[in-house]
Amino acid sequence: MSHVDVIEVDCSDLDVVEEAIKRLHPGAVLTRNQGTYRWWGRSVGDYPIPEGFKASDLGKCEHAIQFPGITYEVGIVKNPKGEGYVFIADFWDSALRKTCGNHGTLLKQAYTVEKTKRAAIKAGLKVKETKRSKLRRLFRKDEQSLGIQLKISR
Amino acid sequence: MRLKKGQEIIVNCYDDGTVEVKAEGFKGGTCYEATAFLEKALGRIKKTRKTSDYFRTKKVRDRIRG
Repeated sequence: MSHVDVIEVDCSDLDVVEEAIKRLHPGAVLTRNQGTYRWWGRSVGDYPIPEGFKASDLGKCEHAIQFPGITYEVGIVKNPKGEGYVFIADFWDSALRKTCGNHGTLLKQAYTVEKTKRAAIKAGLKVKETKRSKLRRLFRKDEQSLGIQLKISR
Repeated sequence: MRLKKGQEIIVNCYDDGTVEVKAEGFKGGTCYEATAFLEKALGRIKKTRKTSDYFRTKKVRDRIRG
C-alpha cells in the first residue's frame, strides 16, 4: 500500500447522473433543462438552506430528477462554490429521503460508483463491485459504514 | 494507464456520500500517477495520507543512492 485519499466529488457529467439514478430506482428519469423542481414551494425553516444558496433560489434548477411515485423532485443546479453541479431537493419528503439518502447522500454515492467505473473502463482497467454492510473506513479505521467497494485492477 | 500484477486501486463509496481511495502494491510516488485518472474524473483530493510502504520504498531508494 502506498497512499490513501479522501476525494471531494464534483458532479459534472449528466450522462453519468442518468445512469446513477437508475441504481436508486429503475424508473427514475432525468429531465434536462427543466428549469424548476417540485418541492413544498416556500422555505419554512424546518430544513437548512444549503450553503451558497438563498431562499429565493429554491425551486429553481438547470435539470431535474423524477422518481416514480414520489411527488417531490431533485434539482440539479450549478455549484455555487466550484465546479460542476450540486443536487438540491426538499428532503422533508420521506420517500425522497429514503430513495436518495438524507441531503442526497445515496445519489452522490451512486454517481461516484458510476463515474469511477466509467473512468476505469476508459483507462482499460477492470472493475469489481461489491456492496458491503460493514465497510471499514480507510482514514478512521475504527469506523465502519454501509458502502460500495470498487476494486480496480489490470 | 497501466497497472502491474499485484497493483490495485480500491475505491470505497460510503452511504454518507464520502469517497476514499487506496492504492495498493505501488512503489513510492508511482501510486499518485496511478490514481490521477480518478482524481481527474471525480474531483478534488480533500485529504491524503502516505502509508508506511511509501516511505519504506523511498528510504531503500535513498540508501542505494547514498
